[in-house]
Amino acid sequence: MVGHTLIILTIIFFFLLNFFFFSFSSCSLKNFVSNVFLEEDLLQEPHAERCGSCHKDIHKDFKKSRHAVAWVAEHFKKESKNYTDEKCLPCHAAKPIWASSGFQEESELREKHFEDGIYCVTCHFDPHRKGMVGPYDVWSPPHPSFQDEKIKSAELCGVCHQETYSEWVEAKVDKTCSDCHMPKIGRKHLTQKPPMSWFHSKKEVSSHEFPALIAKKEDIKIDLLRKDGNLILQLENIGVPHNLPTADQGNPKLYIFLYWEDGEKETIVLSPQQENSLEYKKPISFVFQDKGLDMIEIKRRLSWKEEPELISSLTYGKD
Amino acid sequence: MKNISFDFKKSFDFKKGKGVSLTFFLFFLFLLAFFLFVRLGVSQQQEEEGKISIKRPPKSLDNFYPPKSREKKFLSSMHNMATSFRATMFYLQSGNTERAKKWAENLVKAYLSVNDMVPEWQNYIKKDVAENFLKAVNSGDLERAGALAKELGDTCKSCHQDNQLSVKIFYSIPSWDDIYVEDPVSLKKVDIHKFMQDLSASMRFTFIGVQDGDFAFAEKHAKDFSARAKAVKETCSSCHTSKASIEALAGKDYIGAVDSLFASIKEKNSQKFFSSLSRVSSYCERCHNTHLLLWEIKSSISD
Repeated sequence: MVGHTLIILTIIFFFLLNFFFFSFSSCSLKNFVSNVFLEEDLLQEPHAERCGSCHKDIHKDFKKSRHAVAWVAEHFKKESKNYTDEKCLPCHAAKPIWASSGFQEESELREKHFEDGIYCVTCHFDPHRKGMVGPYDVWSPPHPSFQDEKIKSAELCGVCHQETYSEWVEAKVDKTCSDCHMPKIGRKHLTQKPPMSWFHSKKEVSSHEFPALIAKKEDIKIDLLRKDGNLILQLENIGVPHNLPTADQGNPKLYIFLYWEDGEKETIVLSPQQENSLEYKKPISFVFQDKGLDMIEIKRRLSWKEEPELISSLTYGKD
Repeated sequence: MKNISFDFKKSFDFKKGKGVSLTFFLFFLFLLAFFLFVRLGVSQQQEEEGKISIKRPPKSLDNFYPPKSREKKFLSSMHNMATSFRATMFYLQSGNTERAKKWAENLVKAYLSVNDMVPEWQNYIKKDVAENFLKAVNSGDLERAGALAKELGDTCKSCHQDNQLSVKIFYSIPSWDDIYVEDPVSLKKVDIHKFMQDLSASMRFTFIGVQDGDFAFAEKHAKDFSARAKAVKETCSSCHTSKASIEALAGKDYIGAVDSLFASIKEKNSQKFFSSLSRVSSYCERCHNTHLLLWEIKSSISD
């Protein structure tokens, strides 16, 4: 009897506690608890590992990304001439990009934790609001949190990826960068550190691996026209709402290989540095002497990789 | 007409009252010697002034410039000295001894630090002059400070005369040795020097084909030249971020000229070919006169 009473009292107490914690939006109790559990160092732009102490799964994803190695990658170290080429540095170890209203016009190089590259603090910490910005309205005692839809905007990515952002604006599509490059990976807890993680319901989480996607076969439309002994090859980027390939300073390539029936091969090379990339929904044509087309292959090579990857391969026969 | 003759013996009879006096003769000889000496010195100086000497700066200076150091500490030190010098003399002349002392200390500290940064240049650094200059400033002795300032400035001038040009060439001119290009013909990554050789070879064979009236041969090489010429643009962004500067050197006009050159081969139009070639080569010239010339000078003193 006493045991049953105790259990009932505990349950009532638990519900009352939740009621006081979560029911009053401007409750002084909530503020009191926030002050008690506030972890001040989180607002001092700490290392990525510090954020990862609670956001374990997201941090694990992030470590696999190119953002995580933006500074330490050998390729970058070489291209920036051992970190002495000043113009390269801000986008590879950027300060928080939130401004007093909207975003910074350009990235700035931060003073510490360069080796973390483009990490949590760059996109999530707002030094003006002095808290973390995310897509959800959450109460997180360790650090103030603010919900802001702009966290999902292409404009955020455009602070560093300026050229690609301009191309996306030109494309005039609704899909933003995160729709493709931060795909949803299911409903999960935002943190993995009990007991705090128990107080949050699961939310739809986006991948923080930021994959550099490869175009699908159907993203590039290929048309062939034969006229006056010539073969006119028309290519159109119909699936990717930015140039193919795209980069601000890197040098990725798109190769179009034409294999002729006589065994000869011709190559078209498209690159952002040559300013001849495939723009979204803007076809371009190439004229060849028609020697009987055997096959067309389209490959792409990312600027930090040595080997190209196949996008599509089309075989043709004689008419 | 009176016969005018010159009696040498009488003229140089140094007995008093006859002919040219000894004093005058010696004075004349002295003047002649002086004139010749000065003239010789001037011509030597002119000969020296016409010479430019460049040499590889001391290796210890590498530590204060990219790629070994992001900060250009040595250059900052130079600017610091120049500013401190100016400030010291200004405050001395305007009677503000306190500020003059502060800037003089700054100057001497920066001046002596050159010894630590570049021990190979210790002969240029006159520690005693610097310390005496500081003492003079501290005592407010404007005249002595002015004299020592000149002496100190002369040591700077001496080092600058010997080394400033070499340092500017060696550390300011970009290195081209680390620039690689994917050759669009072979799809192999090659260094810029090899790439330029292959580009040049494509052009020469195209030219030969046109000259010999063999347009099939010319077309084969023009195709390679066209692809390579367009790929040159990829090298610009190794250093340039400004679209404007890339546009000036390898922009739409340049690409248009390359396309026109290739079209002229397909049309078998020699006149158009030479006209397009002239347009293309004006862009080659721009880049070569800006970059290649300086790189060749730098290469002559590089390791």
